Amino acid sequence: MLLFKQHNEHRIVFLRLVALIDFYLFDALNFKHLIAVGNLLVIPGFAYLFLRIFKLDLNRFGPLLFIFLLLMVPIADFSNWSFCVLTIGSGLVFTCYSLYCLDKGNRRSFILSLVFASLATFSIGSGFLVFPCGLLLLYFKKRPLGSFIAWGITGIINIGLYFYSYHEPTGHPSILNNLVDHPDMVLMFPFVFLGSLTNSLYTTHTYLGFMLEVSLISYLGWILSVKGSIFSKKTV
Amino acid sequence: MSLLLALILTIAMLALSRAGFGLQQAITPRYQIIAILFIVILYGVGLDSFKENVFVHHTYFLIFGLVLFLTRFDDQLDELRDRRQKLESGLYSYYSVEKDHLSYPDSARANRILRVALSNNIYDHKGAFDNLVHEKREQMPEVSDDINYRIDGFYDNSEVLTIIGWAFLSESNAKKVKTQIVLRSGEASWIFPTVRVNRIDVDEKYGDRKSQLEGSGFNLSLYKPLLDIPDGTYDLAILLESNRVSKWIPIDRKTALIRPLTVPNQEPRNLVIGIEPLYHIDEVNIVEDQSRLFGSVPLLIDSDTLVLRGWAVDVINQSLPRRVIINVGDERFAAVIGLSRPDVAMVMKQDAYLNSGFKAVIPTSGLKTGIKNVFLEIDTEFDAYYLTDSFRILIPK
Repeated sequence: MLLFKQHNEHRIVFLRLVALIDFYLFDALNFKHLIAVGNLLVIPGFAYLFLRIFKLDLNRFGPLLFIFLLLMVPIADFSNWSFCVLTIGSGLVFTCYSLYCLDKGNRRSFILSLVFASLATFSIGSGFLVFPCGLLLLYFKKRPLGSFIAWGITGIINIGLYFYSYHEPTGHPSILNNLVDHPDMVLMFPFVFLGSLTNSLYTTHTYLGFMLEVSLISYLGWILSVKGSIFSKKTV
Repeated sequence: MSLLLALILTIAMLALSRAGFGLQQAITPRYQIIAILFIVILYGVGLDSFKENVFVHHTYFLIFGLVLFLTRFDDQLDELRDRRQKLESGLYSYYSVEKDHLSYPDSARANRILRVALSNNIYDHKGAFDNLVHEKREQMPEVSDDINYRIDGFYDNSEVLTIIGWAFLSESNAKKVKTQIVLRSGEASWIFPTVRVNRIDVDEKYGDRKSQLEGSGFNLSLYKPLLDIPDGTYDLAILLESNRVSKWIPIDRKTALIRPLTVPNQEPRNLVIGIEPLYHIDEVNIVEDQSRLFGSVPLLIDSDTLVLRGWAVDVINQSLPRRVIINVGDERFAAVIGLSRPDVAMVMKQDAYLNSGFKAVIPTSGLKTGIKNVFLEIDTEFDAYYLTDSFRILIPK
């Protein structure tokens, strides 16, 4: 039961399992091992996934370099913090792999997607969001009813286990209070969040940070507005 | 599309659960991986839209990735260095007399968990003390009065030296200048790097177009028992160095470095017989369990120091002992005495026992390996001493 014990709003079973395995193998908890495992999961994990999803040609240097550069962008408080890389990082990896496998459609991939979805749920608090996303994917893919039922039941079991004997973490404002008391913050949060990548540049390379951000927003805005129809074609 | 939706839902969830803490939460580095994935996925989405003009698409994102990577790489190296020093500094200060200072909402619980983890060897931190980074210099540059500084906090005891303050050179960017503390004895100087602390207040007061002083704050904590420098009294100084300049200024502070004294064996004293000594060993290397201390299995000391903490009094004269000597095998060390123990004075109903605490930190590197008997000699003011029960420790090879 200790594995499932709540940590703030999360159930960090995956992190605890990795820590336990490390302890059994080396007779002590070594955070360097945890950091290494987390980074090995996140960087090669996402690199492989994007190569497959975008169907990138391994002989083309440019796209590979771009993905490598972005995944390797130094984030001091993520890549060298074992807790973060094994909760946020692994949660995202499992979520993406679950949806990737679900998109494939064969039975083996479907079972794998259920396993990855469960791992995502018990890696980080937002992990269970994979289930509604998966439902949407199944709907767009026009999958048989059986897939919906199996996915739905697994989702209910996982989310049920997640919220079983769940208690509001102390010292954290509740979601409802945030919505009522700070609606402006809730609205601004995603924008600040997406711009946070260039935030650290403002102290050292002010104009560069500004130009990077403006160029990215303009470029992405153009893709989304002019070429927005692509979303109806790509399900993963 | 579903990947993008998963990321958008994750961001929405973060916004709902974290917005109450303020917008600062949105720029914490630990969530930036989500922003990175968002950009990579949009890049992938764009690939299909640019089938006829994919070169522009690739070039744009490649330049974007390259600029972001290189600029952040530069920034984050400094941040990693600072973080390492902060973690080391935290470990040193953990071993000061007062232990309940882990920074956590429930610090008592956090300390309890850490103590259990350390005492059961679940958490292994030994390697952290391998790098007490310092450099010895026989010659220093000329003293400079071009350094502005202030010492905001100075805490010095037998184990830990902590200095907090700010320092800067005129017309410079403080972030590009390394602040170091110098321990000087005669012509020899030992130089210790400090942890950089942001000081917006200093920048607001003294900063101008030529001087960016936000990074002028510093913090240094040294754990004395493990310092590889000779015992003695040291004058303190601040050394500021960058690629171009190296300037230092003495500060009006000193610190003493006196490791547990080895006590000679032959001393004519009388052993107190027939009266039980009054003392208690609260912990040995954070093991408090007396049945474990005095049990049949020797206590394994696999850390760099043997730390004993407790209290002892001279029960006949109802006074404090003159000395408390820790015997480890055939080696003897004087403990630091006179530490505050109001609990002892209260329970014994004797005000004289108010400062009956003692503590000894003995580097294990100087001890012979193997199983050793450990006991105390509690000296009275009248050339007599009490002998306590012994317990056994194992110093591994």
